[in-house]
Amino acid sequence: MMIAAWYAIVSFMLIIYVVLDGRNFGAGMLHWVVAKTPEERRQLIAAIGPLWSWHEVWLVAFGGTLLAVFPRLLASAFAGYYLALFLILWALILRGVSIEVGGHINDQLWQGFWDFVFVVSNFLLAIR
Amino acid sequence: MNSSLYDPAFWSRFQFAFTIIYHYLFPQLTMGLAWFLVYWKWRALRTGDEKYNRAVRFWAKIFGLNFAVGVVTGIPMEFQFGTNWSEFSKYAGGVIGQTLAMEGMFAFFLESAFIGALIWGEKRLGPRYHFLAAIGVALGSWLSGIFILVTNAFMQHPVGYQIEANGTLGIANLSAYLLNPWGLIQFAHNQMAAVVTGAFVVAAVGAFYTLRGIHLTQARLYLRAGTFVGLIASLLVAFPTGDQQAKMVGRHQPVTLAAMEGKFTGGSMAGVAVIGQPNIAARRLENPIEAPGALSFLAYGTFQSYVRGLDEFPEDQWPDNIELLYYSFHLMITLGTLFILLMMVANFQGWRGRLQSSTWLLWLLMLAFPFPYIANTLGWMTAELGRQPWLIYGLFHTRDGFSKVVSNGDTIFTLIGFTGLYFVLGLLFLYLTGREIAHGPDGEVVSGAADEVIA
Repeated sequence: MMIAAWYAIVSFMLIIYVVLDGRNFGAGMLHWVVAKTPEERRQLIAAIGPLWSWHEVWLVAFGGTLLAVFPRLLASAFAGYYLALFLILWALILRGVSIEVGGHINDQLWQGFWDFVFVVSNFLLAIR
Repeated sequence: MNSSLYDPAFWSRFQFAFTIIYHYLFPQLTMGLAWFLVYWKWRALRTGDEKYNRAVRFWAKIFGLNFAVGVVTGIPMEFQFGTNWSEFSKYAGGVIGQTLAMEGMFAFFLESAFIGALIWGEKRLGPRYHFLAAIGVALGSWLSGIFILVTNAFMQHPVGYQIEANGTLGIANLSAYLLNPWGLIQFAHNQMAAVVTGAFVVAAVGAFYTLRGIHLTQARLYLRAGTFVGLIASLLVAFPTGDQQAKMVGRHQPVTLAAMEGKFTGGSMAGVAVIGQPNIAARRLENPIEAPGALSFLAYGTFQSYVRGLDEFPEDQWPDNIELLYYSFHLMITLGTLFILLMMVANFQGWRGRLQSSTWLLWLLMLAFPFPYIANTLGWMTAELGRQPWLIYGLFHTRDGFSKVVSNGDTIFTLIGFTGLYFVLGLLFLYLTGREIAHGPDGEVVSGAADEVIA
């Protein structure tokens, strides 16, 4: 019974994360499609900027809870999918950096580059 | 450390060490800086003086950059428990997962929520709530710290656990686990060290502006707060927190204490080596210059106290890299002592009203800021190398903890990836921080405009 409850809680956390950050992945993949001008692109990222670390909290909490409640599941899955996991991780890092850093300098080249990183990392995240 | 590069545990350890040392460069500043923000925000509220708000706006930007890098480099730490240390996770996940999950849920959540309010909510929140946001950020970051340190304390000195039917660990007594005496002392020591880093960085920026002759009102503020807090925190790092930490090691990990001090044979009137190089093969400390009796006194309270030597323990219980452990510990102590001296001189000159005009002292303060980072890192190296060969002291060996299914090739690949990614991240961070410092605190007031929304 406890196991079933924990299973529900952990699944709920993962679903919340996927729903919340899925919005950001989607926005990221469509970044070039829906936002044509540099101003629109800044606005799109500004809609994610203050929220993505909140959304990532759910991923961190999911990982911690999984470790506490189903250590064998976490251990087998993470070690088994070693390389895939690290590619996700690096894409998450790049995505976070591109959001945080892109708006720092008001320069077309700089922002264009980070927009590129933003789109590619979101694609990589969503594909996996 | 196992000398064989074919040992898979070596690469998983190396990767964890590299990623956590890099990660911790950022939280140590935010944890230290957070209380400066609270203090200045409080002064602004009390006096209505705009200079305090300027200081908060400027340092909140630096804080935000550090926080962002801290977040993105923190996530790999949690991942690696599963990817590289899956045997350890299977064994101890039921215990350490508790605090890691709490860290994610309460502390990190609190911090992520308030950091946004602190950086871009000043206008909307008004001074009173903006002050509360600063307190929320500070509490969140310190709460994060305590959950991580409780987790580490369990690995150093396991308490409150039970062995379950399937042979893994579970929590027997949650409050005993959370109130682990090792964790509380280590937390106090670590947090004071983080404040030292914060104080040195604040003072260094103040010294830089003063030497440049720019932003002088702000520079005076930074120098005064940085040197005053720097002195208090440097003293507290040594006594009582560092002293208590060493006594705790002496009590629960006597073999670690012997290795930290390069004591190959036991005895009373044991000295602290000021200089000396451990020679493990010959089982002696070379060229030692010792302060006699100091170790006996510091660790156990009297000069006559008996300090056990490495020869009294079986060799398979010795920390596996005694040289690095010894140097880490001794360099940390040396740096800590120098911090106290530098900050005493700075406060003396400040008291005489000559801090702003002592060019040599300003140069020292400006160039000193990397050293608390080094000292913090050395402190953690002492703690973690000293814990070896155990992953959980007395319960679980490090060699049993790594993922059996992950090959060296996998780990070396990801290590190379981290090295490249973190190099770029470091360059970006330094560039953007340098830009903020060059731009300075006296720029125009942060507006609520869209281009400022991104920190």
